[in-house]
Amino acid sequence: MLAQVLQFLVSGLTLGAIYALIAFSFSLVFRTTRIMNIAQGEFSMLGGMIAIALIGLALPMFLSVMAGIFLVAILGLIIERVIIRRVRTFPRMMIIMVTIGLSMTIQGFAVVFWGQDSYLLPHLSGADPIQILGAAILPQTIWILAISGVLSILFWFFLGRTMIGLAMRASAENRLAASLVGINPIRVVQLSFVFGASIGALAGVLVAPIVFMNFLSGVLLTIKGIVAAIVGGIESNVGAVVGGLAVGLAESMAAGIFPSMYKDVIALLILLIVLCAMPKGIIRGSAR
Amino acid sequence: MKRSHLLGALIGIAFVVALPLFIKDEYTLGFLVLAGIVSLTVTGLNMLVGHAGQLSLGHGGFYALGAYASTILTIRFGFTPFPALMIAAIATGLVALLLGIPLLKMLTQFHLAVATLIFVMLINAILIVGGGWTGGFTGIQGQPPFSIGSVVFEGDTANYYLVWGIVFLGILFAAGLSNSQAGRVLRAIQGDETGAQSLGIDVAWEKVKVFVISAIYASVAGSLLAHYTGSVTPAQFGVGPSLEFMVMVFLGGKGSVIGGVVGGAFIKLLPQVTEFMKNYRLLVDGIILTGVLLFVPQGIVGLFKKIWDRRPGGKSPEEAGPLSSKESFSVALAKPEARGE
Repeated sequence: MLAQVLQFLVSGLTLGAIYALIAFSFSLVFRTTRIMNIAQGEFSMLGGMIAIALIGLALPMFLSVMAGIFLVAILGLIIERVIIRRVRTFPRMMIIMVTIGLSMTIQGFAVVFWGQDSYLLPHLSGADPIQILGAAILPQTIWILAISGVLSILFWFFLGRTMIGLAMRASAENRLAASLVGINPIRVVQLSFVFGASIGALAGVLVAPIVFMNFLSGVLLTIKGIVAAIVGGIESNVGAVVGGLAVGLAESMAAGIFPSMYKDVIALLILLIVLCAMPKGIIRGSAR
Repeated sequence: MKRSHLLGALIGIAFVVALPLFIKDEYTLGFLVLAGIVSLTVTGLNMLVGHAGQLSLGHGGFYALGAYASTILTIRFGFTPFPALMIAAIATGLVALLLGIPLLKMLTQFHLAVATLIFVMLINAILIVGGGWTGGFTGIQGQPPFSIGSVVFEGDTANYYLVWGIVFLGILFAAGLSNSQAGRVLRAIQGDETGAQSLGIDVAWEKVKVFVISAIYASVAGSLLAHYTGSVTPAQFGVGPSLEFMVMVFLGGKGSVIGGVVGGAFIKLLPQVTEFMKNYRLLVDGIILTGVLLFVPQGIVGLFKKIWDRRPGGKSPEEAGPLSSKESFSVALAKPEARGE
C-alpha cells in the first residue's frame, strides 16, 4: 500500500515538474508581454522531436538534447521578431488566434518532417528502475526532479537578484515606467521569448523518454501547462511550481484510482473542472 | 437589406442551385456536400466569434455529439433520422449550456478558448473509450440516409440540395440575428462590455445564448454528416478539425454572415485542387490562419467588401466607414491602454 502510494506520488511529482516548467515558461511570456501563448507546448514537442531526430542521426545524447533546446530557443527568437512584435497591438482575440496559427504551423512542420508516428527519446542514463521502499523509480525521474529543481532555484535567483532579471520583472510590472528608467522593453520581450522557448524545449526533452512524442503532444502539454499556470496563479513564480505539481499529482492519483483505459478522460475532466472552478488567478492578473 | 446585397444573395443562391447541373462527377459533388456541412458549422461558430467576440476551439466536440447522438439514436434505438437530428441538437444545446454558463459567466476569452480545447479532447477521449456505445477507434458505420417522413435523401445530388438548403436556412437565421435587436446587443457587448452592462444588458447570458446556438449549428451539421457518409470515427472530430473551423471563420471573414460559407468552402475544397496536401494539411491551415490574421484580418468577405466600396462611384472611404475588425484595429493601435490591459 505504502509502496503504491509512493509510486503514484513519484510519478505525479515527475509529471508535475514537467508541467511546472511549461507553466513557468507560459507565465514568464505572459507577464512580460501580456500575450497568452497557446503555442507554448509546441516548443516542448519540437525540442523533444528534434533531440530524437538528432539521436537518430547517431549524434551523442548530450549534444542532441542541447541542440534541440538551442534550436528551439532560436525559433523563439525568430517568432518574437517576425510575428509577435507585429501583433502586440492587435485586439486580444486576434493575438490568441495568432498563437493558435503558430501552434498549427509548428505542428504542421512536425507532421511534414516526422509524419504521424510517435517516438521515444532514450533515457538520459539507463532505463532500469531503482527500488526505493518498494516503489520502482526510473533514473529519468531523478533527472527530471533534479533539473527542474535546480532550474527553479536558478530562475528565482535570476529574477530576484540579477540586473537583467530585475529589469524583466520591472518591465512586466509597468512597461512604461521601466522604459523611463532605461530598460529596453523590446529586449525584455525578446529575452522572455527565448527563455520561454528554451524552458519549454527543456521540458520536452526531459519528458520525451517517459511519454511518447508525436506532432500532437504539444497540445496536451500546452493545456496542462496553462491550467497549471492558471491554478497556481499566473502572476507569481511559485505559482507555476505549485500548479504544475498539483496537476501532475491529481493526474497520477486519478490514474491510480480509475481503470487505466479511462486515464485520459479523467485527466481531461479534472483539467476542465479545475479551470471552471479556479479561474481567479488569471482574472486577478489580467485585470491590472 | 440594400439592393446590392439582395442582388449578391440572388446570384449566390442561383450559383449554388445550378452547380450540380454542371458537375456530373460524383466525387466532386460529394466534396461539395461535405463543404456545405462544414460551412454550416462554421456559420454557427462565426456568430460566436463575430457577434459575441468569443473564441471556441472545441466546436468539433459539438459536431461529434451531433453525429454520434444521431448515429446511436437511429442505429441502437431505431429512431428515424429527422427526430434523431432534433433530439441530438437539443441534447448538444444542453451540453453547451452546461459548459457555457460557468465559462462565459466568469471567465475571459482566453479561458473559454482553453476550456473548449480541453472539451473537444475530452469528447474525443470519451468516444475512444466508449466501447460498445461509440465503437472505439473504428467508430460506427451503417447510418441510414437522412429522411423526413417518406422523403429519403439518398445519393449525392439529393444530399447536396438538402445540405445547402439547411445552410441557406442557417445563413438566414444568422442574418436575422445579426440585424435584430439581439444582434445589436451582441455588437454592443463586443464594442464595450462594461458599457453594454451599464445599459442593463445581461452580457454573460447573451454570450451563453450565442454559444448554445452555435453548438446547435455544429450538432445539426454533425448529424447530417453521419447520415450522409454513413460512418463516424473519433478521428473526424478531434482537435485538428476544431481548429480548422476557426481557420475557416477568420479566412472567410469574422462576423460576416456568409463568411462561414466562403471560408468553409475554400478550405474544404482546397485539397481538391492540390492533391499533394495530405501531410501538409495542418501546415497549410496554420500558415493560412497566421497569414490571414497578419495581412487580411477582415477575411475574404471583408476584403471584397472593401474593394467593392472603394470602386469608382462607390462610397467614399469615410462614407463607407471602417470595417468592424479594422475599426477595432485602429482603436487598438491608437490606445493600447484603452483595451484594459
